[in-house]
Amino acid sequence: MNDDSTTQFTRKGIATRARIVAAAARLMFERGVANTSVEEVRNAAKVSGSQISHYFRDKRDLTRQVIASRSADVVAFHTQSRMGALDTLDDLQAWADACIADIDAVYRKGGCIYGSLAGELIDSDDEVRDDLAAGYDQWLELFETGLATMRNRGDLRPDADPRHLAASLVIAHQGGAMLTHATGDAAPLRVAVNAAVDYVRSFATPTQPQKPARRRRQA
Amino acid sequence: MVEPNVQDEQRLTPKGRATRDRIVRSAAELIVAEGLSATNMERVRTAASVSGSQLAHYFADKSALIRAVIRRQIDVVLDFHQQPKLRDLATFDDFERWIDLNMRYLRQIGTSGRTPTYHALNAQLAKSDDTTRATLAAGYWQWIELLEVAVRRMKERGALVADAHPRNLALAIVSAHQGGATLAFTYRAEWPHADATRFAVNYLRTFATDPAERAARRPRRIRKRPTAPS
Repeated sequence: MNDDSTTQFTRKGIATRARIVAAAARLMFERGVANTSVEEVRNAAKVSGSQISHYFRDKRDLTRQVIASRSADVVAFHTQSRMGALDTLDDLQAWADACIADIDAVYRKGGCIYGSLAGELIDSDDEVRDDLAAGYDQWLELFETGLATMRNRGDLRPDADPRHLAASLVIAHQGGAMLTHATGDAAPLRVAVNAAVDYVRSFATPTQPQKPARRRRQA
Repeated sequence: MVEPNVQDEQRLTPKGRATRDRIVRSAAELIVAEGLSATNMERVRTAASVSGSQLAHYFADKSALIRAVIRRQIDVVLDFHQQPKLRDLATFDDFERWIDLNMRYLRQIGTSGRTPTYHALNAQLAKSDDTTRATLAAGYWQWIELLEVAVRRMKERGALVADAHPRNLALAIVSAHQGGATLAFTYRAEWPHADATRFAVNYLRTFATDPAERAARRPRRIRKRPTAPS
């Protein structure tokens, strides 16, 4: 997704390009991809038309850069220190709490910064959907790695499936964000992310000090 | 909200109703395939093979048509949940069948992104205007309400423990469904919806009174490459 095209620009060029992507990302979040024209992005980023066309072939190209940028935002959100390595139940609850804290500022305004792009671009060509799937892959992997650690450590039972639980966390978040945006009600996202974390919790090994042979399992 | 079109719809002759349905279906397909802004009355007219005056007879403007599209699609969702095979979602077995039927439905429509499912319409329309978003929200609340009633019935029968919260369980189930569908269409694969529906029902199971029902079921194995939509 991140091609080498950035290398051919000067430092100033890279900054201009980033400013355009940021303006496009903001507009697309607020009003949707379809309702955002290259012209509006140009105005919002305060650049000339020739500058835009210097950095981006067309709206599709710009949209793909927005996807890459939003995917990086998602990774940054999930790697904040308050969420640790997403490898304890407390870390996962901190994640849910951080999502819930953003409901008014983000989710009620435009849904999920990433999911609302994915939803709107659902009938795009294969390349764009591959970009979007690659962003989800990264996101899922962050959770899956933490969940696998929890299982290997013995925090979760052997029958906990890190891949399935990671999918449950991301999917609950995505659906909850859709409903919270559509209804303007905080409840769907709040309930959905808490439900997903409680689902993981339902696979926790009993906390009683009754672990005779602490077996380490292979990943 | 006052919805004059609903009354109009009930007054239609069978032929009129068929024409109206064709218009709504064509509009739904256009919105999902080309986006809302590319969907204008003229294109709907052509796609549905109706005259301008016919179109104007059924829908005063684009916004009325969009609302009809959303309502039609939530009816598809509600009908799905009310099909006899699901027996009012009264037991965990019924919810297991809910998973199967969801996966079968996904297999039928495929993951091309061209079917105007509710999540696809929501994604296209949620950022358009407040009236449209309110119509989308009304559809979601109907769906949530339907599941809330089902879950409450299970609780009243003693199948769920006292701290099971029917409203929240309904919210979690619908959210899982919509998130799973979005990822399935993005990946063009069935597995996200299999994980989503399994999560929804396993989460419901965590509130089961009977320990045997409480145990999590494993997600179904999904064929790696989905076959072409039928």
